[in-house]
Amino acid sequence: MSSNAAPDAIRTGARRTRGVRRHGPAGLAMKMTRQYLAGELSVLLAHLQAVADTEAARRDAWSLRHAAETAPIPALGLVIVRALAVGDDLCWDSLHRGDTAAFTRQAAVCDELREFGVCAGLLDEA
Amino acid sequence: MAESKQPQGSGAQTSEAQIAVHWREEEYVPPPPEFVEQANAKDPAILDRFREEHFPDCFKEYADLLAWDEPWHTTLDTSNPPFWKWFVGGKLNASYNCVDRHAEASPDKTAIIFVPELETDDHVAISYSDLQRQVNEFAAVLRDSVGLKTGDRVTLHMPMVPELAVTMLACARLGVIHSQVFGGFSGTACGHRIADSGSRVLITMDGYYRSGQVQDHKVKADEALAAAHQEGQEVDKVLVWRRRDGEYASETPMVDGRDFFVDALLSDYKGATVEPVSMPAEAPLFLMYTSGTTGRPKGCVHSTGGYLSYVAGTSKYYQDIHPDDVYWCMADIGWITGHSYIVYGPLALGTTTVIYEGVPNYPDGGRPWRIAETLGVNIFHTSPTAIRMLRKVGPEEPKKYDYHFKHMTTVGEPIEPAVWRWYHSEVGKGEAAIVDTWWQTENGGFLGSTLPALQPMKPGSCGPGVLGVYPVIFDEDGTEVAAGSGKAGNICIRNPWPGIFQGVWGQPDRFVATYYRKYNTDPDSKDWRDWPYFAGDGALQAADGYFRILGRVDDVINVAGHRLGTKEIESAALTVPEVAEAAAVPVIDDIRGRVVEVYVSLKPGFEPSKALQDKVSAAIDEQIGKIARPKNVWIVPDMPKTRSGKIMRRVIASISNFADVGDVTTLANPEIVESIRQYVQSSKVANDDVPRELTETEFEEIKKFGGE
Repeated sequence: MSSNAAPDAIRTGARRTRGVRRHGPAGLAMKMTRQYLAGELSVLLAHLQAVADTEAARRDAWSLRHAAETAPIPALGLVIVRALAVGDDLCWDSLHRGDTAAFTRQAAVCDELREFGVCAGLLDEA
Repeated sequence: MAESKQPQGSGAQTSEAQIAVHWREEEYVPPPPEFVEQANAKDPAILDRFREEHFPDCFKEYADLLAWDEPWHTTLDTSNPPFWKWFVGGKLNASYNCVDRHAEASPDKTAIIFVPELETDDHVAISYSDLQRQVNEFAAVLRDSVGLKTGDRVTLHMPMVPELAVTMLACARLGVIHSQVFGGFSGTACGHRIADSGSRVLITMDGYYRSGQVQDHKVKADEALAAAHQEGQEVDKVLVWRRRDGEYASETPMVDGRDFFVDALLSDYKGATVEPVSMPAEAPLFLMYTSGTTGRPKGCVHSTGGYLSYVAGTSKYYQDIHPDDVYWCMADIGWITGHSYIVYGPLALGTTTVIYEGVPNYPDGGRPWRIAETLGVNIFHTSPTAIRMLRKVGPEEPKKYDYHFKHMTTVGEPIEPAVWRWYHSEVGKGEAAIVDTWWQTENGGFLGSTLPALQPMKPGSCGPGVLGVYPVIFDEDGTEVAAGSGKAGNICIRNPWPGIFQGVWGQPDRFVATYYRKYNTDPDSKDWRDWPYFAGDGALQAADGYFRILGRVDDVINVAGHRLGTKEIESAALTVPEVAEAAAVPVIDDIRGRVVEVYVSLKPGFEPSKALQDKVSAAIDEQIGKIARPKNVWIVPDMPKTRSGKIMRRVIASISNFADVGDVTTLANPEIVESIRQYVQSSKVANDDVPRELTETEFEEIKKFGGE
């Protein structure tokens, strides 16, 4: 989404922020025609799966994608929160290894996920 | 949605309905006079023609937009409620209506403009005569090479390319029921839909572009077939369109005898023509699966005559489409919006519809506005999510481009007034009428919207019911909530309309149970008035008749900042086969603000056990996440209920919090309260799990929980 991917991803990915992120407005997740949110999230989780460099992370991303495609729409906010946690771990592991190429790819995906979640009203801005 | 956030520092549980009533009503915004002057619906007499006393015959006006092979004899058949049939006796073909009649009248007129994602690739303009040729040739392939016949189902898993529209229209030409799965979905999701629909043919594409990268799409076909096989459904043939002539964008091999390149098959059918099959109005045109469905997928069946009439009528009057417009709906054809308002509605009216392959912000936030400028788009249609994204990445971008929209739509979710204003003033440059539409996959077309030249816009509200659609808001007990009362409830539609889906594919009981049982007053009645359609969305109606869609009116429990809808938790608990009923309630917790406790009652023949409690807890954990894991699962013999059968959540919430349960004498089963209280509170005392005494505010919150 943004060309400034890394700083955003660091922000979303910081371990210290995990667990305090607020879930989006679950009760506001109406039916309407919001099916497309599940679709877009599925695509982004496929990207997450593609940048995962461990088997466990790939499995997590696959399972989250499955959740996005099958869970009730109101649960998508939690799916994003969990996806960001997976992305956080990937980013930090890459940083610890000094693998900047992997970090950049993973950070970009985290950024996309976060931006999408905020714009879709599934995540709070802060 | 900033208005819906919890106040900082508050852990209070609040239903969205309670929040909504504090939203400020916005001022009306009139449509521009230039728009009114040219609008399809500018004579107020149309509002009278669609008043309830003229129902259902008012919809003849929509059906008359189409060419019928045989006229209908019955406008609305209500003999088997709620399986309504529209325009019974009539026959028509959707492909003929969207292609041939326009190709005959204006062969060189552009039907589709395809915009590839890569800006270095040229736009592709397809005239109505080109489209007619392509549809005929591919229909010949489907009929003569693949062996598809009327009534067969075929699954499409295609990206945003014109070949998708060609494929849909070729199916429609033969009376083959297409089921397009959103191209971004996994092969597994596609496989589940193949299995549910019983498709033996999958039509896909080798690849497509997204964010500048070519995506391997064909690989998903192999996953899809494996998933379908696991559910016992075999696929005989996979037809693969190529994104670029002579190239293959996938790394997965073509399977001999199963996979076929469409271009290779087409080479035998150059110039072929296929007579459109004259279909009964009520014959299924397509299936549209709803995502986010636990359990078996839900394939909404949309009809040929009713659906096509409805999308043609709403496209004409609500999208204000004229034949000489250039219309761009930036949704994906994989969703109902794309079916109704990219393909079937605009083409039925003979206009030019734009299909854009990629993401709106590639390579930058100015892309949509460059497309609009280049193509002369004058009607634009997108979702609030996309509007928010475009506003974020390029708030100043629209003014850099010389385009002029006369009309804009938002669809899919409510749009907050601040975003609406940016859309109006920056994207629309203050020149466009906006329709904020409310509807669902199941509905075929719009249900709530302003009629753009006749009803002023009001940011944050979708408007009244559309022509011939009469919404009502009911509370949980079926009492009508008055307009202007400030109270929210469940929005329902009192009457059938031609675009309503005909059922859930292969699951008639689920159709009735999900959409009609809640407010049906007499299951034997043949009168449509006794069968309100339950939309599942919450809404509030202002005194002027405009609706504001709120989401569902279930309560929210705020656990450590995570807002959990009680319905989600209860739905997850109900996936445990032994569970008959479930209710989630908050318990005051000094560390996490609130924690969740779940009460369940069991189906006959099952006994309470620790294993069953764990199973319920695990189901919630798995489906929603650890954050929703209940602190306790209480298996009770019955739930305290009102005489109308509503579970009294405030009573059990009070028990869990050791608060006074209040007056329970009016309950249908008051004796159960003491029994539950004894069981729950003695267990909590034994486990040293007694919450501290509630503050006055907390006590009020618990007392009000559940809305009673």
